[in-house]
Amino acid sequence: MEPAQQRRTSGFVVCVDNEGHELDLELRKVYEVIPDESLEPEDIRVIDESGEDYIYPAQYFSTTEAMGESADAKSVQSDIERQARGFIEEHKSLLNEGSTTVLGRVFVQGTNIFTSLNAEVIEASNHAVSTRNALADAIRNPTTPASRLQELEVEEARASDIYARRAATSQELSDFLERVRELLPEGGASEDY
Amino acid sequence: MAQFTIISEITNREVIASGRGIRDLDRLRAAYGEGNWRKCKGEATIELPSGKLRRAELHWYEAHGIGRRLMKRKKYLD
Repeated sequence: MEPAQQRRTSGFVVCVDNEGHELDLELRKVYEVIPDESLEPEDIRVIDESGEDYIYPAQYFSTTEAMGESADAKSVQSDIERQARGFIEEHKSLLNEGSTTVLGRVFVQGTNIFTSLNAEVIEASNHAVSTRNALADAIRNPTTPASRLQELEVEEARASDIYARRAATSQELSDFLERVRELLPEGGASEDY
Repeated sequence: MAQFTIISEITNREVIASGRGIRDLDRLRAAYGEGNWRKCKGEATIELPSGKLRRAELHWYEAHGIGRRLMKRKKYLD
């Protein structure tokens, strides 16, 4: 069991064990750590493959120092972000040549992706605010070690980058869906969503 | 390695997502089978490997005829 003092409380870790959670965690994949003071010493909170944060055994993860602290925001781009960008790329030609039926389907599919992406934008926003508050508290506390301040600054910058990128992707998708909607006949797509 | 053992009845059970509202639906079906999957939450007392007891909010997926899968800890309540 990983000693409590070595357990990451922020930043990113690599999954080295996923026994019993093969759908939730992928081996050798990087996961974002969420601070949680209520955890046991042997616990860690990470955002898993479901897109939500859950408590796992800390020993399922290793710190990313071995990879270098260069696990930047791009390397933890979420599946939904990739899906949204891929969706726009794949369908943007339909704005010039798509039939109403196809555009209607695209609008419904895109809206579903947009809903999931928006949930991640909110999560990222909350996390960015949380890291900013943690940094502010640490700055105000004269006993905070310089190394801890640096760690929090890196985490806050990373969280802000992730939020900014996801918000930008969400806006791009929203703009794309608006253009699709304008091409649909009055009444828009017929399916409920 | 069992991460925790549920030692009380699960209370305050709620369905928090179902069908296409579940992000992992395709992976769930591929791993455990077709079914009317629902994502649920509830509260229970759990025993950790250290022997310590905690009150926790748990999340899991379930489908009729398949049962509960991927039980995990969302947060501690105590």
